[in-house]
Amino acid sequence: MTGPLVEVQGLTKGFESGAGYLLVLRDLTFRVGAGEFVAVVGPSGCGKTTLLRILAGLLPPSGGEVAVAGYDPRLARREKQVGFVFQTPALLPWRTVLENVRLALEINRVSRPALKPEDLLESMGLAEFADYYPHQLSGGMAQRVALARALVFDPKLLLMDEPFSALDELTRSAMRYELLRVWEQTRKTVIFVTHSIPEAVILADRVLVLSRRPAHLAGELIVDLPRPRTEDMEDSAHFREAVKWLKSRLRAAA
Amino acid sequence: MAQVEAAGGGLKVHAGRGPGRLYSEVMPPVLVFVLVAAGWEAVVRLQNIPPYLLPAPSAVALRLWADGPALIAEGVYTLLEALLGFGLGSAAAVFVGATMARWQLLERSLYPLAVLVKVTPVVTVAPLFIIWFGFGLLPKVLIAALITFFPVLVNAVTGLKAVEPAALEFFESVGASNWEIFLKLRFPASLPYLFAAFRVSVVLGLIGAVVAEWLGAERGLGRAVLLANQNLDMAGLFAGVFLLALCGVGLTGLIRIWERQLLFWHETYLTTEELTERGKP
Repeated sequence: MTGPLVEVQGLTKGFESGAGYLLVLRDLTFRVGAGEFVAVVGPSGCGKTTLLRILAGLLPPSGGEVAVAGYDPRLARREKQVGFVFQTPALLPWRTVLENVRLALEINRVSRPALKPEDLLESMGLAEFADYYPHQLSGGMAQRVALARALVFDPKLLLMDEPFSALDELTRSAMRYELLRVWEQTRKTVIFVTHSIPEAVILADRVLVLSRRPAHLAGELIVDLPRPRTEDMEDSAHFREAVKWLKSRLRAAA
Repeated sequence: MAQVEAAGGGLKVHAGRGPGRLYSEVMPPVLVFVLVAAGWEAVVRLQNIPPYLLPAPSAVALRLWADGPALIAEGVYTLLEALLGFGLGSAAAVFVGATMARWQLLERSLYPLAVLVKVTPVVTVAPLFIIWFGFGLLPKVLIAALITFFPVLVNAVTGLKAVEPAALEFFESVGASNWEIFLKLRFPASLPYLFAAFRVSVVLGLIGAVVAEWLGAERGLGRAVLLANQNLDMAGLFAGVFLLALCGVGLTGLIRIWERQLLFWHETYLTTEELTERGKP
C-alpha cells in the first residue's frame, strides 16, 4: 500500500458535439491509494462514465495529467493493469461462462495466466456454472461472471461502472457483499461509480462526490466503518450520517 | 406448404417436445392439404374441366409416379444451380458487408445503392446474363447468386453493427484488434440477421435458377415446367411445380436445421421457461 495507484491532476475533458464544444470534466484532481476502495457518486450524466473511460485508457484526456500505476492510462491498459466491469454484463451469448472468462486471454494469446479462469470462477462460487451459457444465468450471476472476466489478468485497478444498477434490490444487496468478499481476498484498488449513496457508503473507504456537468470534485467523505463490512452496519449511526451528508452534498452539487 | 412453415414458426413457443406436438402442429396443415386436394379433385371431375386447363390432383400424382425419376433428376440439377448461386451470393455478400462495416466511406457510398437494388426485381436482368454467359450452368448460378446477394448484404451490414456497445468496449479494453473484434464479436452477433436473410434468399435463389432456365436451358425443372406448359401438358406442369415446392421446403428446412445448431443461444431458440427465468436471482 505505498503511494497512490491513481493520480488525477487537473483533468479536463470536452467533446466536439453538434451544439458546439461540450465540457464534461473540469479541473478534476484526486488520488486513489493502492488497495483503496473508492466510490464515485454524482448527478446523472455528469461525466462519471467519461471519467472511468479515461482512467481505462479508452478515451484521451483533453487536459491535465492522469497516471495509473505510474503509467499513462493507455499504456496501463496495454500492460493489463486495468479491469473493467460495465453496467451490463456484456457477456457473449454464444460462449459458455468459462469461455467468456477466457476471452481476454485468447485475445492476448496468454496460455498460462496469473489467475486460472477455473480458479477465478471457483472463488466466485461459479465453479459449477462454468459450462453454462449466459442465457441460463440470472442477472446477478452474469454480473459475477463479468467480474471474473475483468479480474483474469489480475489487474491492479478495477473500474466498475454502475455494475449492479440493472439488478433488483435483493440481488443488488447480495452482490455488494459478494463484491466485498472478493475484494477482501484480493485488496485490489477499486473505483466504483454508482447512483446509490447507501451502496457507495457500505462499499467504499472513501466517496467522491462529483458536481453536475462540467464535473469537478464537490465533496469527499471518508467512510469510517470497520472492515469487513456487514449488513448490520447499514443500521449504524455512522452509516446513516454518512448517507445524509452525501445526500446534502449531492443535492448542493446538482 | 407455406402454411406448414408459418404454423410451425408461430406455435413454436407453446409446442413442447412431447408426443402432443404431432397432433397440434403437423395434423392441421396436413388435413387442410388433403381437404383442398379432395375438393379440387371433386370440382375437376364434377365440372368436367378439360385437362389442358386444370388437371385433377390424381392425374398430377400419376404423372409424378410415372415420370418421377426423370423429374427428380431435373430437380437435382435445378437445386444444384440454386445452391451454388446461394452459396456464391451469400459468401460474397458477407465479405462485402464486412468490408462495408469496416470502412465507413464504403458503406456510406454503397449501402444506399444496395438497399435500392434489394427492392428491385433483379431477376429482370436475367436475359442479359444469358447473352453474356450462354445457356449452360454458369448464367443460372450467377442469376441465383445475384438475387441472393442483396438481401444477405443488407442484413450482414445491419447485423455486423448490432453489437452491444459494452461488449465492444470490453474488446477494446483488452486490446482486441479489428480482426479479432470481427471474428469473435461482430460475425457471431450478425448470425441471427444473416440467417433471417438466408431463409428468404435461399428460396429467391431457387426462383432465380428457374427463371434463368426459362430463358434458355438444356436441363432443369424450370425448363421441364416451361416445356410442359408449351405442350399444354398441365399434369406435367403441376408435377414440376410440386417438386419445386418440395425443393423450396427442403432448402428452408436445411437452413433452419443449420440455424438451430448455430444459434442455440439466440432468443428465438430459447423456450418460454428459459426466457422468463432470465434475470431472476
